[in-house]
Amino acid sequence: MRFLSLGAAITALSSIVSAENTDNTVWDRVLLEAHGQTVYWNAWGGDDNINDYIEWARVQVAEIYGVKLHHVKLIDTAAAIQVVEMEFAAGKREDGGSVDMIWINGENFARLKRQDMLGQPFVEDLPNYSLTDFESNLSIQQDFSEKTEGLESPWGLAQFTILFDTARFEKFPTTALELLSWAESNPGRFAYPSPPNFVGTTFIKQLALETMEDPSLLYSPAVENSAILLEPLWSYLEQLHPYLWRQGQAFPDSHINLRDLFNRDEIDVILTFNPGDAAALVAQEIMPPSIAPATFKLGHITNTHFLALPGNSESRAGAMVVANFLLSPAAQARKADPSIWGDTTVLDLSKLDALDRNLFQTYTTALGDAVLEPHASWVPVLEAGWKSKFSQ
Amino acid sequence: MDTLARTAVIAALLIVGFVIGFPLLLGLWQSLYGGLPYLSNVFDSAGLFKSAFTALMSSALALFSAVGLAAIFQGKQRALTWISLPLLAIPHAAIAQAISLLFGPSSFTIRLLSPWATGYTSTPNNWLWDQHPDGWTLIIVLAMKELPFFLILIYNLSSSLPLSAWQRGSTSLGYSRVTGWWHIVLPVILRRLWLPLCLVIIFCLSVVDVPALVGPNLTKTFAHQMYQNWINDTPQGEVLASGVLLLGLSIITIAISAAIFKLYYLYLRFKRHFVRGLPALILPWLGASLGLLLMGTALVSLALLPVQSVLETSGHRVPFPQIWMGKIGLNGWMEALKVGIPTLPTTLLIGALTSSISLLIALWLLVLEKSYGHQRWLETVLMIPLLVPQMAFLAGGAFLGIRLGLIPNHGILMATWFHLLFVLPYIFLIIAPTYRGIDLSFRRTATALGHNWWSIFFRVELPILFRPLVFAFAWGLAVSMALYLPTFFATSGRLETLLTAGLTQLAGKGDNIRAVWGLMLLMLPVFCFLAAYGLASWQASGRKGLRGG
Repeated sequence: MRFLSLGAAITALSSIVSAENTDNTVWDRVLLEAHGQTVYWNAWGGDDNINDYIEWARVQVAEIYGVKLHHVKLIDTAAAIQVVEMEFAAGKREDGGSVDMIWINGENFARLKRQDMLGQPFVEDLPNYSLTDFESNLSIQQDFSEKTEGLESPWGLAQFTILFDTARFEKFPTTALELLSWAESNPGRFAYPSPPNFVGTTFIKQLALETMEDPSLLYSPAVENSAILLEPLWSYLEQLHPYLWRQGQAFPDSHINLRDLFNRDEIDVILTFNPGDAAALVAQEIMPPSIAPATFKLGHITNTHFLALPGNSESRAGAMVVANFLLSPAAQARKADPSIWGDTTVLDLSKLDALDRNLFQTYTTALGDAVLEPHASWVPVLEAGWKSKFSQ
Repeated sequence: MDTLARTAVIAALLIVGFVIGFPLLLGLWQSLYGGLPYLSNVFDSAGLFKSAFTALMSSALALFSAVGLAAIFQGKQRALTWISLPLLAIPHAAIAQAISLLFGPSSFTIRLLSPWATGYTSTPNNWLWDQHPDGWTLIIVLAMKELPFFLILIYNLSSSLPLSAWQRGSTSLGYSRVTGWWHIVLPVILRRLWLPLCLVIIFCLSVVDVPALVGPNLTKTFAHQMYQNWINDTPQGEVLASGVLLLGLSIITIAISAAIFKLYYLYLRFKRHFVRGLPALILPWLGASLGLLLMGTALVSLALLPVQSVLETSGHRVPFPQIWMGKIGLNGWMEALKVGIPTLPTTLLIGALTSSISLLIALWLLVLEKSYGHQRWLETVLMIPLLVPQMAFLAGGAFLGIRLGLIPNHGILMATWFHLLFVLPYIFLIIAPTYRGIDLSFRRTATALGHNWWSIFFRVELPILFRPLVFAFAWGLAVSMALYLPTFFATSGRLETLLTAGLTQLAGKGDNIRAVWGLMLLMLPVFCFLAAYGLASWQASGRKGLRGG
């Protein structure tokens, strides 16, 4: 209880701090309108620690802003996308929507944006948005090559990496070729989830960037015979697969399964999109303390995850207040704490005052060199190619 | 009476039409309209073949084992029912979970046997039995689940057939009980099991949570692929097209099994003259042995769940072949109960509402049928929701609900409606054989004794129906509790049931927490079934003619 009120105090303080340098009248109106609104936030619900964090936020926004937040726990974000699409198809285009806010990125965002289902841009109205690194961080301006255009508010940073067991291996491969020889000398101990699982797809994207003759082509849209350009990737995977878990005859369905396989001593690696996972999974007592992230010479594919507001929500002001709260230094610092969640902040720490910056002191995750997501049109090419090569 | 009856028939038509036909037609139209242009994008012969193969094999295995058991254990079916009940009630995912815990290369069993018996010093790398790429693990798990369904149906059917008279006849001709059953009862029972068999085949074709746990996961079944694509941002047109393809596949698979059935009856016609053939001696025993093996394996693996649920796996790895790190605790239970218990009222309310309404509608239709003859089309319409891929069809229903302003603000109502589509067919299927089998002379006698229609219904027919009614109710609860997508779409995800809460919890959890959820999901329906069983036995205890089967 004491902790909660401390959190509330910090939050209140930080909102005062950030209020100083924003135009106040618009935001005041939003705050007023938000008071008493109910916000249904559709967010993946598969992780207790994330759920607990959202529960904390629920208590906070109720106390500070009088917003009633509900977490609609999803198995997958696509379910919420379907609901919004169905509502628009049923004529609920302006109001009557059941989803007020979605935790989202990539193709899901592009899908709603393409269909004009996200209403007006709102991000620049959020006072705390100015604390993010929006000027220079490309992955905040573009979500998988789709311009965000103020339609989604950044929430956390994701970076692809591989965690391995330092108790068994002193160092881990840094290039695709090193990975191949590592797998050859440790047969059965490497696994990746089969595409279209997004971590599996990212793994082969990362390999494509390294094996293709001209990887820059991945940043322009895929064209009709782009598939030929991926031949080096497929021949690399053909060499790798016999040394995979179950000799490449079976693949894990999801990257989350890798944790179990690791703890059961079937494999020695975990593929993840959360660079903070190494610390967080240990702090949350999910994985043993001996896991550590690998570093790729090429750099790591990096993206941002966001909060978007469907255009037919009747609690848009309430959702904006929640999105802004989640960008506050107090909320972002709590999220970055490995024992809470361990998700990397989107705030630019140099824009914070000393007091706020101190909140992050112990939990800044050292990110590897960032490589941008390839153009989204490559995803179907990669997935179809993988399927026709390996799963027929 | 005539106008009243006509009104009743029309009302039945309207209700069935509105409750089932409307969302169904809308959903189908939406799928065809949105999906047809993308058909060639999603066509995948390998996946389609794997689906048909696993569905046919598992249904055939389940049916074969069930009739084998029924032939061998005539008169002792009560005991078999006891064993099948928990299996019947358990969600597929719980069995799949248990099997993968039992047969995995890093499982208990292998660790216990290693290295002294197996020679493994690290987890075997070429091990495929817990998720066989050709689908054998899937076939076995599905058969384990469908076997008790067939057993219960056979049990219920038997009570409406003059079995003892038939048996006397065949014994007097010199056949053993088993051979007699195989030759005389089986053809009759199989004919009546045709529709349930179709349901089972379609279920196996469209099931997603089981292949997610036990494979095959390289060349996936078509439905599994469709689900994976759906949650991984495939354009909606392609998802709808997959639904259309799945529907086509269902039709073809059903046609194949219809052809096999036809062949069986043709064979019956021609083999009249050499009835004492070897097959009738061997097949029942073979089926029964397979059945016992399947049920035994399922029960053993389920029995491991409680053990697994207290072995804390999180936070460390358990080096092979060590059994565990010596950490035993109830953390998994505490965590799961915290999430699970608050969902119980909603889960039970929706389940009970759905089952009660389904029972009423099913009885109503059956009563009408008694006066106006067997309406085949009505029965077929009832079954359609189970014969069409859920995904496409639910979208149509949700569309309707949103249009009517019922979603998301009337969650219980909408969830009950959607669950009804899946519960009503099963309930109808369970009580119909018994109701149809009620001897018409009871009614004549009672009428002659001066009882009116209602009094006969309540004092004669309902007591006869009591056992199938309570079982149907429990089965309805179990089906309702196991519905994920219908619950989600009916409420835009705002209502949480034990299953929706459990499924969101399952991903990313250690084996102990998965075991706890497996147990939680199975305990509730098992409890309902045991209560139903107790109730039925208590009711039958005062009525001589209703005892046993």
